[in-house]
Amino acid sequence: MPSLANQDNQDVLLQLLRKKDEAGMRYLFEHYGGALNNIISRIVTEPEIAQEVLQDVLMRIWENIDKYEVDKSRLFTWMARIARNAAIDRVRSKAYRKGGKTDQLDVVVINRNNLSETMNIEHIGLAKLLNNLDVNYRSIIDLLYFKDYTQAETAEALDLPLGTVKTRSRRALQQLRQVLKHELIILFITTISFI
Amino acid sequence: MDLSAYINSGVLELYVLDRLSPDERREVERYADQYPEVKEEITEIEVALERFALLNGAQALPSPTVLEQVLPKVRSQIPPAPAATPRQATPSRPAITPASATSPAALTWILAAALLIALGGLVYFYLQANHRGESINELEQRFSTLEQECEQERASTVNDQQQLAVLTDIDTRNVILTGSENAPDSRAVVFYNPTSGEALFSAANLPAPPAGKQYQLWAIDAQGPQDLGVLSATLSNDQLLAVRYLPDVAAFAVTLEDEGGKPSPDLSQLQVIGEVGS
Repeated sequence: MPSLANQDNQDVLLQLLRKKDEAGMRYLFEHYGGALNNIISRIVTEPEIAQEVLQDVLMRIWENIDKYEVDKSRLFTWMARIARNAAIDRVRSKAYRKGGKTDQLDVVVINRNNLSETMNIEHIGLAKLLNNLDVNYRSIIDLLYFKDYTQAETAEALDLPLGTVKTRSRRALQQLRQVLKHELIILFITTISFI
Repeated sequence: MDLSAYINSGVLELYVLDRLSPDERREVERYADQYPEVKEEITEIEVALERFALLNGAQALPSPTVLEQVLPKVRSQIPPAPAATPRQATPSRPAITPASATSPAALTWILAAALLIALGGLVYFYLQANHRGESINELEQRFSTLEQECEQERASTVNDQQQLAVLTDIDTRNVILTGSENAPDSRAVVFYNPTSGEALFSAANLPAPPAGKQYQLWAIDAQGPQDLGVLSATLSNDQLLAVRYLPDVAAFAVTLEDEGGKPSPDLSQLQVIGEVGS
Protein backbone atom coordinates (compact mmCIF):
# COMPACT_ATOMS: atom_id res chain seq x y z
CA MET A 1 0.00 0.00 0.00
CA PRO A 2 1.37 3.39 -0.81
CA SER A 3 2.35 5.10 2.39
CA LEU A 4 3.60 8.58 3.01
CA ALA A 5 7.25 8.95 2.33
CA ASN A 6 9.17 8.42 5.48
CA GLN A 7 12.83 7.87 5.85
CA ASP A 8 12.43 4.44 7.45
CA ASN A 9 10.75 3.08 4.34
CA GLN A 10 13.55 4.35 2.19
CA ASP A 11 16.24 3.03 4.51
CA VAL A 12 14.66 -0.42 4.40
CA LEU A 13 14.35 -0.25 0.65
CA LEU A 14 17.92 0.92 0.20
CA GLN A 15 19.27 -1.90 2.35
CA LEU A 16 17.29 -4.55 0.50
CA LEU A 17 18.31 -3.19 -2.88
CA ARG A 18 21.96 -3.02 -1.92
CA LYS A 19 21.84 -6.61 -0.73
CA LYS A 20 20.35 -7.53 -4.12
CA ASP A 21 17.49 -9.11 -2.25
CA GLU A 22 14.46 -10.02 -4.33
CA ALA A 23 12.33 -8.63 -1.51
CA GLY A 24 13.81 -5.23 -2.39
CA MET A 25 12.11 -5.31 -5.78
CA ARG A 26 8.79 -6.28 -4.22
CA TYR A 27 9.13 -3.51 -1.67
CA LEU A 28 10.03 -1.01 -4.35
CA PHE A 29 7.02 -1.99 -6.41
CA GLU A 30 4.58 -1.99 -3.52
CA HIS A 31 5.66 1.29 -1.94
CA TYR A 32 6.80 3.36 -4.87
CA GLY A 33 5.35 1.65 -7.96
CA GLY A 34 2.36 3.98 -7.96
CA ALA A 35 4.34 7.16 -7.62
CA LEU A 36 6.85 6.15 -10.29
CA ASN A 37 4.05 4.97 -12.56
CA ASN A 38 2.33 8.32 -12.10
CA ILE A 39 5.44 10.23 -13.09
CA ILE A 40 5.94 8.05 -16.14
CA SER A 41 2.33 8.08 -17.33
CA ARG A 42 2.20 11.87 -17.18
CA ILE A 43 4.83 11.88 -19.89
CA VAL A 44 4.14 8.61 -21.68
CA THR A 45 0.40 8.75 -22.21
CA GLU A 46 -0.05 5.32 -23.80
CA PRO A 47 -0.70 2.82 -20.99
CA GLU A 48 1.07 -0.17 -22.56
CA ILE A 49 4.20 1.81 -23.30
CA ALA A 50 4.10 3.44 -19.88
CA GLN A 51 4.04 -0.04 -18.39
CA GLU A 52 7.13 -1.01 -20.41
CA VAL A 53 8.91 2.11 -19.21
CA LEU A 54 8.01 1.32 -15.62
CA GLN A 55 9.53 -2.14 -15.97
CA ASP A 56 12.62 -0.58 -17.43
CA VAL A 57 12.79 1.96 -14.58
CA LEU A 58 12.44 -0.71 -11.91
CA MET A 59 15.32 -2.61 -13.51
CA ARG A 60 17.44 0.52 -13.78
CA ILE A 61 16.91 1.25 -10.10
CA TRP A 62 17.77 -2.35 -9.26
CA GLU A 63 20.91 -2.38 -11.38
CA ASN A 64 22.23 1.09 -10.54
CA ILE A 65 21.53 1.24 -6.82
CA ASP A 66 25.28 1.39 -6.17
CA LYS A 67 25.42 4.68 -8.03
CA TYR A 68 22.92 6.31 -5.69
CA GLU A 69 24.67 8.75 -3.34
CA VAL A 70 22.99 9.00 0.03
CA ASP A 71 24.33 12.45 0.86
CA LYS A 72 23.34 14.00 -2.47
CA SER A 73 19.60 13.39 -2.41
CA ARG A 74 16.86 11.30 -0.93
CA LEU A 75 16.36 7.88 -2.50
CA PHE A 76 12.98 8.82 -3.90
CA THR A 77 14.30 11.96 -5.56
CA TRP A 78 16.90 9.82 -7.29
CA MET A 79 14.32 7.22 -8.36
CA ALA A 80 11.93 9.90 -9.60
CA ARG A 81 14.68 11.33 -11.79
CA ILE A 82 15.36 7.92 -13.30
CA ALA A 83 11.65 7.51 -13.97
CA ARG A 84 11.26 10.90 -15.58
CA ASN A 85 14.40 10.58 -17.68
CA ALA A 86 13.37 7.12 -18.87
CA ALA A 87 9.95 8.41 -19.81
CA ILE A 88 11.41 11.41 -21.60
CA ASP A 89 13.86 9.20 -23.48
CA ARG A 90 11.00 7.04 -24.63
CA VAL A 91 8.91 9.98 -25.77
CA ARG A 92 11.85 11.35 -27.73
CA SER A 93 12.72 8.04 -29.35
CA LYS A 94 11.79 7.53 -32.94
CA ALA A 95 9.57 4.58 -32.11
CA TYR A 96 7.33 6.79 -30.06
CA ARG A 97 5.54 9.34 -32.12
CA LYS A 98 2.68 10.94 -30.40
CA GLY A 99 1.39 14.48 -30.11
CA GLY A 100 3.59 17.25 -28.73
CA LYS A 101 3.84 18.44 -25.19
CA THR A 102 1.21 21.09 -25.49
CA ASP A 103 -1.78 18.80 -25.42
CA GLN A 104 -0.44 17.07 -22.32
CA LEU A 105 -1.48 20.05 -20.25
CA ASP A 106 -5.01 18.75 -20.48
CA VAL A 107 -4.08 15.54 -18.75
CA VAL A 108 -3.74 17.38 -15.49
CA VAL A 109 -7.26 18.70 -15.77
CA ILE A 110 -8.64 15.31 -16.68
CA ASN A 111 -6.90 13.68 -13.78
CA ARG A 112 -8.32 16.28 -11.50
CA ASN A 113 -11.85 15.58 -12.67
CA ASN A 114 -11.34 11.91 -12.06
CA LEU A 115 -10.39 12.63 -8.50
CA SER A 116 -13.80 13.65 -7.27
CA GLU A 117 -15.25 10.35 -8.47
CA THR A 118 -12.86 8.03 -6.67
CA MET A 119 -13.26 8.35 -2.97
CA ASN A 120 -11.17 6.50 -0.49
CA ILE A 121 -9.17 7.90 2.35
CA GLU A 122 -6.11 8.72 0.32
CA HIS A 123 -8.09 10.19 -2.49
CA ILE A 124 -9.94 12.48 -0.16
CA GLY A 125 -6.58 13.63 1.06
CA LEU A 126 -5.29 14.27 -2.42
CA ALA A 127 -8.48 15.91 -3.63
CA LYS A 128 -8.36 18.31 -0.73
CA LEU A 129 -4.71 18.87 -1.32
CA LEU A 130 -5.11 19.71 -4.96
CA ASN A 131 -8.13 21.89 -4.31
CA ASN A 132 -6.17 23.81 -1.77
CA LEU A 133 -3.33 24.34 -4.17
CA ASP A 134 -3.56 27.42 -6.30
CA VAL A 135 -4.13 26.48 -9.96
CA ASN A 136 -1.12 28.52 -11.06
CA TYR A 137 1.10 26.79 -8.59
CA ARG A 138 -0.23 23.38 -9.42
CA SER A 139 0.46 23.77 -13.08
CA ILE A 140 4.01 24.94 -12.51
CA ILE A 141 4.78 21.92 -10.31
CA ASP A 142 3.18 19.72 -12.89
CA LEU A 143 5.17 21.12 -15.78
CA LEU A 144 8.48 21.07 -13.98
CA TYR A 145 8.10 17.87 -12.01
CA PHE A 146 5.92 15.62 -14.06
CA LYS A 147 6.73 16.82 -17.55
CA ASP A 148 9.68 17.28 -19.77
CA TYR A 149 9.64 21.04 -19.51
CA THR A 150 12.68 23.20 -19.15
CA GLN A 151 12.48 26.51 -17.33
CA ALA A 152 12.15 28.31 -20.64
CA GLU A 153 9.44 26.02 -21.95
CA THR A 154 7.54 26.33 -18.70
CA ALA A 155 7.72 30.10 -18.94
CA GLU A 156 6.40 29.94 -22.47
CA ALA A 157 3.62 27.48 -21.68
CA LEU A 158 2.38 29.53 -18.78
CA ASP A 159 3.05 32.84 -20.52
CA LEU A 160 5.36 34.03 -17.78
CA PRO A 161 8.71 35.86 -17.86
CA LEU A 162 11.55 33.37 -17.44
CA GLY A 163 12.68 34.91 -14.14
CA THR A 164 9.25 34.39 -12.67
CA VAL A 165 9.47 30.62 -13.11
CA LYS A 166 12.00 30.42 -10.32
CA THR A 167 10.07 32.54 -7.83
CA ARG A 168 6.81 30.92 -8.82
CA SER A 169 8.21 27.43 -8.29
CA ARG A 170 9.44 28.57 -4.89
CA ARG A 171 6.01 29.84 -3.93
CA ALA A 172 4.35 26.74 -5.34
CA LEU A 173 6.51 24.47 -3.25
CA GLN A 174 5.96 26.62 -0.18
CA GLN A 175 2.24 26.30 -0.64
CA LEU A 176 2.52 22.61 -1.31
CA ARG A 177 4.38 22.14 1.93
CA GLN A 178 1.78 24.14 3.77
CA VAL A 179 -1.04 22.12 2.29
CA LEU A 180 0.75 18.85 2.96
CA LYS A 181 1.15 19.77 6.60
CA HIS A 182 -2.55 20.38 6.83
CA GLU A 183 -3.29 17.27 4.83
CA LEU A 184 -1.17 15.11 7.06
CA ILE A 185 -3.28 16.10 10.04
CA ILE A 186 -6.49 15.24 8.20
CA LEU A 187 -5.09 11.90 7.11
CA PHE A 188 -3.98 11.24 10.66
CA ILE A 189 -7.38 12.01 12.12
CA THR A 190 -9.12 9.97 9.43
CA THR A 191 -6.86 7.01 10.13
CA ILE A 192 -7.46 7.25 13.86
CA SER A 193 -11.23 7.42 13.53
CA PHE A 194 -11.04 4.58 11.03
CA ILE A 195 -9.36 2.39 13.64
CA MET B 1 26.22 35.87 0.79
CA ASP B 2 22.59 36.35 1.78
CA LEU B 3 21.54 32.80 2.61
CA SER B 4 17.83 33.41 3.01
CA ALA B 5 17.68 35.33 -0.26
CA TYR B 6 19.38 32.41 -1.93
CA ILE B 7 16.98 29.94 -0.36
CA ASN B 8 14.02 32.11 -1.34
CA SER B 9 15.20 32.57 -4.92
CA GLY B 10 13.56 29.32 -6.03
CA VAL B 11 16.79 27.84 -7.31
CA LEU B 12 16.66 25.03 -4.74
CA GLU B 13 13.21 23.99 -5.95
CA LEU B 14 14.46 23.88 -9.52
CA TYR B 15 17.45 21.91 -8.30
CA VAL B 16 15.27 19.22 -6.75
CA LEU B 17 13.05 19.30 -9.84
CA ASP B 18 16.20 18.67 -11.87
CA ARG B 19 15.62 21.73 -13.99
CA LEU B 20 18.99 23.45 -13.65
CA SER B 21 21.93 23.62 -15.99
CA PRO B 22 24.95 21.54 -14.93
CA ASP B 23 26.76 24.71 -13.79
CA GLU B 24 23.86 25.90 -11.68
CA ARG B 25 23.46 22.42 -10.28
CA ARG B 26 27.09 22.24 -9.20
CA GLU B 27 26.74 25.61 -7.55
CA VAL B 28 23.74 24.44 -5.54
CA GLU B 29 25.62 21.32 -4.49
CA ARG B 30 28.56 23.41 -3.39
CA TYR B 31 26.31 25.61 -1.25
CA ALA B 32 24.55 22.56 0.16
CA ASP B 33 27.88 21.16 1.29
CA GLN B 34 28.84 24.49 2.75
CA TYR B 35 25.61 25.58 4.45
CA PRO B 36 23.48 23.15 6.48
CA GLU B 37 20.47 25.48 6.05
CA VAL B 38 20.59 25.01 2.29
CA LYS B 39 20.92 21.24 2.66
CA GLU B 40 17.99 21.21 5.06
CA GLU B 41 15.81 23.26 2.74
CA ILE B 42 16.61 20.95 -0.15
CA THR B 43 15.61 17.94 1.94
CA GLU B 44 12.33 19.60 2.88
CA ILE B 45 11.57 20.36 -0.74
CA GLU B 46 12.39 16.75 -1.60
CA VAL B 47 10.06 15.49 1.12
CA ALA B 48 7.24 17.76 -0.08
CA LEU B 49 7.57 16.66 -3.70
CA GLU B 50 7.92 13.09 -2.60
CA ARG B 51 4.69 13.13 -0.67
CA PHE B 52 3.02 14.92 -3.52
CA ALA B 53 4.19 12.19 -5.88
CA LEU B 54 3.19 9.40 -3.52
CA LEU B 55 -0.29 10.86 -3.06
CA ASN B 56 -0.63 11.19 -6.81
CA GLY B 57 0.68 7.66 -7.19
CA ALA B 58 -2.07 6.31 -4.98
CA GLN B 59 -4.40 6.45 -7.98
CA ALA B 60 -1.85 5.36 -10.55
CA LEU B 61 -1.15 1.92 -9.13
CA PRO B 62 0.58 -0.12 -11.84
CA SER B 63 -0.68 -3.50 -12.89
CA PRO B 64 0.79 -6.40 -10.85
CA THR B 65 1.93 -7.93 -14.14
CA VAL B 66 4.76 -5.39 -14.13
CA LEU B 67 6.16 -6.95 -10.97
CA GLU B 68 5.60 -10.43 -12.34
CA GLN B 69 7.61 -9.58 -15.41
CA VAL B 70 10.39 -7.88 -13.54
CA LEU B 71 10.96 -10.50 -10.84
CA PRO B 72 12.36 -13.23 -13.15
CA LYS B 73 14.86 -10.73 -14.53
CA VAL B 74 15.86 -9.79 -11.01
CA ARG B 75 16.25 -13.42 -9.97
CA SER B 76 18.55 -14.14 -12.89
CA GLN B 77 20.79 -11.34 -11.62
CA ILE B 78 20.92 -12.51 -8.04
CA PRO B 79 24.05 -14.64 -7.55
CA PRO B 80 22.77 -18.09 -6.58
CA ALA B 81 23.38 -19.01 -2.97
CA PRO B 82 25.55 -22.17 -2.54
CA ALA B 83 22.58 -24.29 -1.43
CA ALA B 84 20.13 -22.75 -3.87
CA THR B 85 18.36 -24.63 -6.64
CA PRO B 86 20.88 -25.74 -9.25
CA ARG B 87 20.49 -23.04 -11.85
CA GLN B 88 22.25 -23.56 -15.16
CA ALA B 89 25.90 -23.63 -14.17
CA THR B 90 27.39 -20.72 -16.02
CA PRO B 91 31.04 -21.11 -16.99
CA SER B 92 31.77 -17.86 -15.17
CA ARG B 93 31.28 -19.59 -11.82
CA PRO B 94 33.51 -22.66 -11.93
CA ALA B 95 34.14 -22.43 -8.19
CA ILE B 96 30.69 -23.84 -7.50
CA THR B 97 31.43 -27.19 -9.16
CA PRO B 98 34.17 -28.51 -6.86
CA ALA B 99 32.28 -27.32 -3.79
CA SER B 100 29.11 -29.17 -4.76
CA ALA B 101 31.18 -32.25 -5.63
CA THR B 102 32.47 -32.54 -2.08
CA SER B 103 30.80 -35.47 -0.31
CA PRO B 104 29.08 -34.93 3.07
CA ALA B 105 31.67 -37.17 4.80
CA ALA B 106 34.53 -35.04 3.50
CA LEU B 107 32.65 -31.98 4.62
CA THR B 108 32.39 -33.42 8.13
CA TRP B 109 36.14 -34.06 8.17
CA ILE B 110 36.84 -30.55 6.95
CA LEU B 111 34.60 -29.12 9.64
CA ALA B 112 36.26 -31.28 12.31
CA ALA B 113 39.69 -30.19 11.13
CA ALA B 114 38.63 -26.56 11.15
CA LEU B 115 37.28 -26.98 14.68
CA LEU B 116 40.53 -28.59 15.79
CA ILE B 117 42.58 -25.80 14.29
CA ALA B 118 40.33 -23.25 15.97
CA LEU B 119 40.70 -25.03 19.34
CA GLY B 120 44.45 -25.28 18.89
CA GLY B 121 44.57 -21.58 18.13
CA LEU B 122 42.52 -20.86 21.22
CA VAL B 123 44.86 -22.86 23.47
CA TYR B 124 47.89 -21.25 21.88
CA PHE B 125 46.55 -17.76 22.45
CA TYR B 126 45.51 -18.63 26.00
CA LEU B 127 49.01 -19.83 26.85
CA GLN B 128 50.55 -16.85 25.19
CA ALA B 129 48.31 -14.50 27.13
CA ASN B 130 49.30 -16.24 30.38
CA HIS B 131 52.95 -15.98 29.55
CA ARG B 132 52.58 -12.32 28.76
CA GLY B 133 50.80 -11.76 32.05
CA GLU B 134 53.78 -13.24 33.89
CA SER B 135 56.31 -11.15 32.03
CA ILE B 136 54.25 -8.08 32.77
CA ASN B 137 54.26 -8.86 36.49
CA GLU B 138 58.00 -9.39 36.44
CA LEU B 139 58.56 -6.16 34.55
CA GLU B 140 56.32 -4.29 36.96
CA GLN B 141 58.38 -5.50 39.89
CA ARG B 142 61.62 -4.55 38.23
CA PHE B 143 60.19 -1.22 37.35
CA SER B 144 59.11 -0.43 40.90
CA THR B 145 62.51 -1.53 42.20
CA LEU B 146 64.19 0.80 39.75
CA GLU B 147 61.84 3.55 40.76
CA GLN B 148 62.79 3.14 44.42
CA GLU B 149 66.46 3.04 43.56
CA CYS B 150 66.10 6.12 41.48
CA GLU B 151 64.35 7.89 44.33
CA GLN B 152 67.15 6.91 46.69
CA GLU B 153 69.76 8.12 44.24
CA ARG B 154 67.96 11.38 43.90
CA ALA B 155 67.77 11.90 47.66
CA SER B 156 71.43 11.04 47.99
CA THR B 157 72.34 13.42 45.18
CA VAL B 158 70.40 16.22 46.82
CA ASN B 159 72.16 15.46 50.09
CA ASP B 160 75.56 15.43 48.33
CA GLN B 161 74.83 18.73 46.67
CA GLN B 162 73.88 20.31 49.97
CA GLN B 163 77.07 19.01 51.55
CA LEU B 164 79.10 20.15 48.59
CA ALA B 165 77.57 23.59 48.95
CA VAL B 166 78.71 23.64 52.57
CA LEU B 167 82.20 22.43 51.66
CA THR B 168 82.72 24.99 48.94
CA ASP B 169 81.35 27.88 50.96
CA ILE B 170 84.20 30.33 51.72
CA ASP B 171 82.92 30.79 55.28
CA THR B 172 83.37 27.08 56.01
CA ARG B 173 86.24 26.30 58.29
CA ASN B 174 88.20 23.08 58.15
CA VAL B 175 88.69 21.82 61.67
CA ILE B 176 91.24 19.01 61.64
CA LEU B 177 90.90 16.76 64.67
CA THR B 178 94.31 15.22 65.33
CA GLY B 179 95.05 12.13 67.42
CA SER B 180 95.71 12.33 71.16
CA GLU B 181 98.31 10.16 72.82
CA ASN B 182 95.61 7.44 73.11
CA ALA B 183 95.49 7.18 69.34
CA PRO B 184 98.26 9.20 67.68
CA ASP B 185 97.36 8.08 64.13
CA SER B 186 93.64 8.85 64.32
CA ARG B 187 92.27 11.78 62.34
CA ALA B 188 88.89 13.35 61.82
CA VAL B 189 87.56 16.52 60.19
CA VAL B 190 84.76 18.87 61.06
CA PHE B 191 83.53 21.42 58.51
CA TYR B 192 82.09 24.23 60.53
CA ASN B 193 80.20 27.15 58.98
CA PRO B 194 78.94 29.75 61.49
CA THR B 195 77.44 31.89 58.68
CA SER B 196 75.01 29.25 57.37
CA GLY B 197 74.84 27.41 60.70
CA GLU B 198 75.91 24.02 59.41
CA ALA B 199 78.37 21.40 60.52
CA LEU B 200 79.66 18.26 58.79
CA PHE B 201 81.80 15.50 60.22
CA SER B 202 84.07 13.01 58.54
CA ALA B 203 86.01 10.28 60.29
CA ALA B 204 89.09 10.67 58.13
CA ASN B 205 90.97 7.94 59.92
CA LEU B 206 89.34 6.29 62.94
CA PRO B 207 89.99 2.61 63.50
CA ALA B 208 86.96 0.39 64.12
CA PRO B 209 85.93 0.71 67.80
CA PRO B 210 86.54 -2.31 70.09
CA ALA B 211 83.53 -4.49 70.97
CA GLY B 212 81.09 -2.78 73.36
CA LYS B 213 82.53 0.65 72.60
CA GLN B 214 81.42 3.55 70.38
CA TYR B 215 82.95 6.83 69.34
CA GLN B 216 81.13 9.92 70.61
CA LEU B 217 81.47 13.39 69.13
CA TRP B 218 81.62 16.48 71.32
CA ALA B 219 81.54 20.23 70.75
CA ILE B 220 83.32 22.24 73.39
CA ASP B 221 82.03 25.75 73.96
CA ALA B 222 81.88 28.21 76.89
CA GLN B 223 79.54 25.82 78.77
CA GLY B 224 81.89 22.87 78.42
CA PRO B 225 81.54 19.74 76.25
CA GLN B 226 78.21 19.33 74.43
CA ASP B 227 77.07 15.94 73.17
CA LEU B 228 76.73 15.76 69.36
CA GLY B 229 75.87 12.07 69.30
CA VAL B 230 77.57 8.70 68.93
CA LEU B 231 79.03 7.52 65.65
CA SER B 232 77.64 4.38 64.10
CA ALA B 233 80.05 1.48 64.45
CA THR B 234 79.83 0.93 60.74
CA LEU B 235 80.57 4.54 59.80
CA SER B 236 83.23 4.40 57.11
CA ASN B 237 86.08 6.89 57.00
CA ASP B 238 85.09 8.54 53.77
CA GLN B 239 81.47 9.24 54.74
CA LEU B 240 80.39 12.82 55.36
CA LEU B 241 77.94 13.21 58.21
CA ALA B 242 75.72 16.21 58.88
CA VAL B 243 75.84 16.90 62.64
CA ARG B 244 73.91 19.21 64.95
CA TYR B 245 75.15 22.80 64.70
CA LEU B 246 76.02 24.76 67.83
CA PRO B 247 77.18 28.37 67.72
CA ASP B 248 80.52 29.62 69.09
CA VAL B 249 82.18 26.22 69.34
CA ALA B 250 85.82 26.45 70.42
CA ALA B 251 86.82 22.89 69.67
CA PHE B 252 85.55 19.49 68.52
CA ALA B 253 86.58 16.20 70.08
CA VAL B 254 85.88 12.48 69.80
CA THR B 255 86.06 10.13 72.78
CA LEU B 256 85.71 6.37 72.98
CA GLU B 257 82.76 5.56 75.27
CA ASP B 258 80.68 2.56 76.27
CA GLU B 259 78.07 1.62 73.68
CA GLY B 260 75.21 4.14 73.65
CA GLY B 261 77.34 7.08 74.72
CA LYS B 262 77.53 9.18 77.88
CA PRO B 263 76.04 12.58 78.87
CA SER B 264 79.54 13.89 79.63
CA PRO B 265 82.82 12.78 78.12
CA ASP B 266 85.44 10.58 79.69
CA LEU B 267 88.38 12.76 78.77
CA SER B 268 90.85 9.98 79.56
CA GLN B 269 89.45 8.24 76.48
CA LEU B 270 90.00 11.25 74.22
CA GLN B 271 90.81 10.05 70.68
CA VAL B 272 91.04 13.16 68.50
CA ILE B 273 90.62 16.87 69.12
CA GLY B 274 90.87 20.05 67.06
CA GLU B 275 90.34 23.75 67.76
CA VAL B 276 88.12 25.92 65.64
CA GLY B 277 90.39 28.56 64.27
CA SER B 278 89.16 32.09 63.70
